[in-house]
Amino acid sequence: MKTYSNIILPSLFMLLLWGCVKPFNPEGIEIIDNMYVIEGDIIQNDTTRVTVSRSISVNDESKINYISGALVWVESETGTKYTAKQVSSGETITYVINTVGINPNLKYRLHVNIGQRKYVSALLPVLQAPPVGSVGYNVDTVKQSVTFHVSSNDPSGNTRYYRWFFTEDWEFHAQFQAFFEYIPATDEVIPIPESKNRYYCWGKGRSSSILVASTTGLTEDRVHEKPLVSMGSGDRRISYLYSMELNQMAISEEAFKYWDNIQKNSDQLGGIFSPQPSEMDGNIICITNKSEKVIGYISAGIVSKKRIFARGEDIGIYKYPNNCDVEFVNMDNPMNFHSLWERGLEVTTYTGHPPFGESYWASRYCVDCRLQGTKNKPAFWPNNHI
Amino acid sequence: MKKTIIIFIALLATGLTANAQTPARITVKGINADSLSKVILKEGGRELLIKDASETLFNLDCSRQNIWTSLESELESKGFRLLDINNNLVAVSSKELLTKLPDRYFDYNPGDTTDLEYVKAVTFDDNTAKSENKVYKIGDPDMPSKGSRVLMSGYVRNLDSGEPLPGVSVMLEEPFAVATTDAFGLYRLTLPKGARSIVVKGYGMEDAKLMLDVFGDGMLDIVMKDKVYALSGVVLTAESNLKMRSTQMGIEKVRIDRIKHVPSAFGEADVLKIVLTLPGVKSVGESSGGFNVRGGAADQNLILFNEGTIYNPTHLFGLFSAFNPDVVNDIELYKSTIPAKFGGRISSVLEINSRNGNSNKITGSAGIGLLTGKFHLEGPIAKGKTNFIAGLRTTYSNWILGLLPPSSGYRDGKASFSDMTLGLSHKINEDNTLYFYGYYSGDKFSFSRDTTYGYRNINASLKWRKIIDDRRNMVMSAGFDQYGFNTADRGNPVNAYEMDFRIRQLFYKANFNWMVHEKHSVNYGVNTLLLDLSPGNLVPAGSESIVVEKRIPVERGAELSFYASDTWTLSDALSVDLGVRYNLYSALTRDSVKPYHGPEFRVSARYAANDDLAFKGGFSSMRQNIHMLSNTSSISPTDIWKLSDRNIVPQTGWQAAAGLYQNIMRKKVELSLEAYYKEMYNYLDYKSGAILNMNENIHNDVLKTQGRAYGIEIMVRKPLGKLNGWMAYTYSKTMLRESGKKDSYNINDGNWYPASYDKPHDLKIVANYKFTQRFSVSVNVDYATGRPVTIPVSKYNYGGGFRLYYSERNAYRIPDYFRADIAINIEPSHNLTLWTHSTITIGVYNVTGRQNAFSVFYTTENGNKVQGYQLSIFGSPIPYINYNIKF
Repeated sequence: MKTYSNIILPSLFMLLLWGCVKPFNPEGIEIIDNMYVIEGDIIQNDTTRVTVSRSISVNDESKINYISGALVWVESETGTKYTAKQVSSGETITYVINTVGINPNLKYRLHVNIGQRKYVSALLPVLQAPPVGSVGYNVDTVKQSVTFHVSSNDPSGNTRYYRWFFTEDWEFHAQFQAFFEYIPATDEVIPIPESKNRYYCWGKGRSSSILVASTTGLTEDRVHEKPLVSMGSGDRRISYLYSMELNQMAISEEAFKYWDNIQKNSDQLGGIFSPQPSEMDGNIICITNKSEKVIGYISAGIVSKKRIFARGEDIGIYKYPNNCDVEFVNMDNPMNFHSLWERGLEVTTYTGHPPFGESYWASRYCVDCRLQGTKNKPAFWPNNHI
Repeated sequence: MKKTIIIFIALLATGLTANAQTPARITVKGINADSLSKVILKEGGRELLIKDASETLFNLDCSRQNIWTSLESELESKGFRLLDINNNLVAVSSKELLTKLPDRYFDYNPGDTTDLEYVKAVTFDDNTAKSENKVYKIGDPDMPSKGSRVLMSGYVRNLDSGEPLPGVSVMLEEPFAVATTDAFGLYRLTLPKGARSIVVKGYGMEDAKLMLDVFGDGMLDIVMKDKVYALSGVVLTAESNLKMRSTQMGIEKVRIDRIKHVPSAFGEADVLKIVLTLPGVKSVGESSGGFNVRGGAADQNLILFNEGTIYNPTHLFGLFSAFNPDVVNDIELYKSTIPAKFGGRISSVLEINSRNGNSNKITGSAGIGLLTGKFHLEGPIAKGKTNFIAGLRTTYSNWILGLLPPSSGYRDGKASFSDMTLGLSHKINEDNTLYFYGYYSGDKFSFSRDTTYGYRNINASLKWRKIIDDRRNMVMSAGFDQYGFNTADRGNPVNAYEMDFRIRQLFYKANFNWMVHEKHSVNYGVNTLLLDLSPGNLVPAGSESIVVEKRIPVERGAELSFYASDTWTLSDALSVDLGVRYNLYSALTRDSVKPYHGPEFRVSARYAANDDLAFKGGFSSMRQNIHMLSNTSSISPTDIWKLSDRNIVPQTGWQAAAGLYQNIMRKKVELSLEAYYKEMYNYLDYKSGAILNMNENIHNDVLKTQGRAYGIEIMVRKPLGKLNGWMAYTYSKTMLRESGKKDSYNINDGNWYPASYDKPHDLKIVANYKFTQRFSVSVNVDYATGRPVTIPVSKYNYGGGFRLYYSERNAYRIPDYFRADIAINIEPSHNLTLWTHSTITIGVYNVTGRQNAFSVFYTTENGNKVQGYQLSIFGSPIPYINYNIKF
């Protein structure tokens, strides 16, 4: 054997385009749609809200296909029925059942009849959720993001499987406060009364991730800082005042597995070592056609709630977008108000039309918060902004 | 390390004409080796290569007629021996290699100067052959054996390093018979008495032809020389002969020289990636270590490195194989008829052998690559008795992770790996040799600051080889293999944990080879295996952690197999190989003891219609008592293994195959066609939501699956010539089906579905074109149907967002895979005055820059739009330069 010396020289490697991700649109997919999807938990200390919808094609970008006219009721193991009332708000159709104060020692099941099709859930015990321990947040200054998290524990050790969902409200304000308003029809500038300000607005939303946790492998029935939602520095929710009302439920092991599987199928695939996706059956079946696929897992319980507020300046990562178009109009820059308005600008401060007065103009979306929110202030909001 | 000057004059043809012309006398005085070579070329018409003659000066004063004898005695007087190997004259320092000159040497009649026999060769020993012009006597002429056929045996070694050469064919030309050297370079050939000629062919070696005069049983050791231009020339003569002559089918053997010249990502020679260029072998995915052989799962391949089982043969989640190419000698893949001596996996056996090390002098190599640094050293400890070879490889590959796409999730990672190989061989006496092998490979990486992974293989084994008598030998080996990994997640201090898995095994193997009769070569032996598997320990990490410490009880098992096989040569044309293996296994852990046992049959037959056409058929059945638990499509470093026990039944499988092999175009091109059908049982699949790690009741989550695969493999190979290489097309199908009870099917309602490695059309081209001796181009093409995937076919709103509903298992496919690599090999100069010999390889991996999908995933955008994406790992051409110096 000869003596070898092997030197592999790094070539002028253009490694910038190393791996890549591009859209994948397979052809010839046989779409399975129009499966019924039944969602809603039987809640002993709150209203039970059930939605019935149908699955849609993956490429269908339309909204949720809600089903109206279904007969929905909760039935206890002793046969008592609590019937639902259909409530429409916007496009959403909800079946609302007053289940407050039902006997928590009985088991319940959900019935849904859609025309001739009858669906029924398993018989479910009412599980008592422990109180929510605390909801807090961690700020990652490197990534410029904030993550809200929940910590809870059940000293009795009976809960073990948790599920959370939340509603959120936030107050934000426009980047610039407009004290005046331009009326294009008359080319007038009139003051805006504070009661009609376009500066303070509110938004609302709800959790969109599946939030479940298990404490089975732990010595205590304790959840520590389970992440709920993350927001980046451009997220308006943390610009001024953010509020979250967290609902905590105790769920069964089967329910946990079901939710966990949906979450894995939706969020964890695509990595190099990701598991193969698979579908899991829920606990609701079609009794008129046993082979019909129906999606949904119903739980029953007593929820615990906690509301928190977080101030944008405490979180400290929010940055206003740097994309306002601004104009200062005076005798040196005597621009036509109407053309500024047509350009998408609104007046914020005004002392008069040029040449004698001065005015400051900025892009509408930097001035009018209603473009990103509403003036619907939640009743519980802790300040006096209008 | 010692310098060797290689002088080479590449003018073969011109010499012959020079011979006829000139008159009279040659007189030179005090010339150096270089000049002497020129003189000899001019006057004698032969090129002469003189090694290690940096200072020596030569004289020559002779007539043209006796130039060769004069040259020989002159070289002899200056301490050189003259060898004639395949028409190259080589003068080697006799101090180094020659222990004694044979007595017959000076008795040889130098006057006999016919065109071919002008040079006598010198041998190391009386019974070592390397001259083509000498007639070697086999057996004692005074006591000829009684039968008409005799047994000749011996070792085939490399001239330079003294290493034994495995896989060399020793062929008797008339009547045709062939023997192949085993892993130790030993061959046994039966042949009729009388004057015979044999041809010796080995990969990367100069072919040699030897004249024999056979009287009786005897020994003949043969020394072969490296091909001088063993650069990237694909020389597969030995392999081709093997294919035609061996009874077994579905064997693929690749020498490391070949591996080193196949274009690869990062320019790192990779012993496992070459396997993927062979027909019937499919990659699990680019940059992933697993491979599938003829429809088998990735865990159904037995990977043996110097007898030890390697459970995870990769580094860096599969980017590289964990074997140092400088230490590896060859790899052999058995994908169809697996010899009876192997067992334990139902799909294939991949055997990787390291070299024995140079037995003449200490040599080594060092290299720096884009990702790795490596070093190896080999040589004799006690000359002629003890040799060693040691290799070390380590990495500084952290930077590569920064280049991975963010979506891969590994961008903030850190990764390091190393591997070490040690081989020792000690010749106790002529008949007994001891070998020791040690191997370690370890990987450590973190995907983020809080998550760490590590895994390591440790193997050590001792092997004793004994030649019992002329017709029998024995190999016994015993060893220890261990594989384990650990992971830790400290992201959340309360849930922080460390988890580890480990498997270790003790093995003992004894294999006996007995050439009972010229028509029967029997192989028998016993394998035992003791397995000890710790499925998992989960412990809290840090004082804040409230993770419950959990230790899953250790699983133990024992395996005992007996086997015997007979290679029966019915006639020159027909031979059969009959093998049977009986496997006994039981889990030894209390509560799960359950013995399993069963026979395995390994049968194959060959019929050679003529020298250029052979038919083969075979059947083999296999058993596997260990299962890998994995529900990912690629092998992940955290896949755990599980022993069969009361609840989990061993996997079994069988394969029937038939093939046709033909040499066409005057033996220049070989054609082979193989077809197979295969069935597998008790392969494990998983229920939805199954938890594989830290689950003591895993048997509740597994589903028994059966599989069937069939395919046809067509291969055209041109081993020699300006254009050489191979082209392989495979059509295959692999289907799986849950074999559970009716009404309780979990996967696809119990219907057949394609395995995730089912890629029906597959085309591979490995080609090399030599423009000149100094310039050649290698091309590598790989096309395969896209693998099946499970993709969402519907979406629904649940829990506040859109969720995906998936199709039946593997109902769709990702786009087809295509990749072409190109490499240009340049040898800048063969200048006589240069003492280094360099080669440059410039290559581009994935030259078309095709963005092959590695995996697909879906994300929900803007609240209600679901978009599919495909991730490509090597989505652009990757150029590299590889510079080698040989001195």
